[in-house]
Amino acid sequence: MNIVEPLMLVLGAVAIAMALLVVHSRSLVYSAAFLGFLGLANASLFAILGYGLVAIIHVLVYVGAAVLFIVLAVTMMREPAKQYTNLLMGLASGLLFFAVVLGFFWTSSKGLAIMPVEVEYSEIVNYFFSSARPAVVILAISLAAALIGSIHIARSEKVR
Amino acid sequence: MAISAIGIYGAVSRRNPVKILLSIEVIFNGILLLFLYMAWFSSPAGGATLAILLIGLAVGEIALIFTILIALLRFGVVSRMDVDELIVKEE
Repeated sequence: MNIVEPLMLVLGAVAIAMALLVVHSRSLVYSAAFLGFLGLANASLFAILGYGLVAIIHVLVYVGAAVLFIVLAVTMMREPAKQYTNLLMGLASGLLFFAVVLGFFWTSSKGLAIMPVEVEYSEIVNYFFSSARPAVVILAISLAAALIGSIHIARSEKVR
Repeated sequence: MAISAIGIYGAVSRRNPVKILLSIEVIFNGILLLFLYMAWFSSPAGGATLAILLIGLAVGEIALIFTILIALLRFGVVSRMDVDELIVKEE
């Protein structure tokens, strides 16, 4: 029995459930955490599709950096203090997180690709330095401008 | 597509700018998945390259928008996180 297709369906269902929880969750911190779980489920689907490198970058850069930044930023926004003691929700979130992380590592380690894409890493690097070079330059300038702007805003004492 | 549809619903129906940004990120995740699936049929390497660039751009966008939102709160331009508060009104 091919286990990849049911796994893909389960991960797709998990991703949709996580997207619903991001939109419907009352707490911003919970929403950001669910966005991280959605990123992990998406990365697992990328790995199943055969895009291993994109999956790794999605986990490291998007989930690891961006979602963590969102959680940190939301904690600085003085969200009204509420007590969330939903044990069922916590258990379900923990189990889903465990399943998604396990699925990601399992699909990555076993090389379970439903449609194996034969992409050489050197081919991607060639794209970066040939046809995608203007996009890389514009992205670098945009990120540098965002960094400088963020530092400037953070250091300002008053908005005029 | 379903993930993107849920994100569009969240972006349209919510009033908190942070929630709207999180919904936009949900849309991004859905579109990225669809994009990589479609790229398999034409140019997988080109699709992977563009996906990596898009992930980098999304991270920069998140950082800049959150910096602006925190600055607006910190400097007292807005008192609470509501899209109506962010609209500049003529005096």
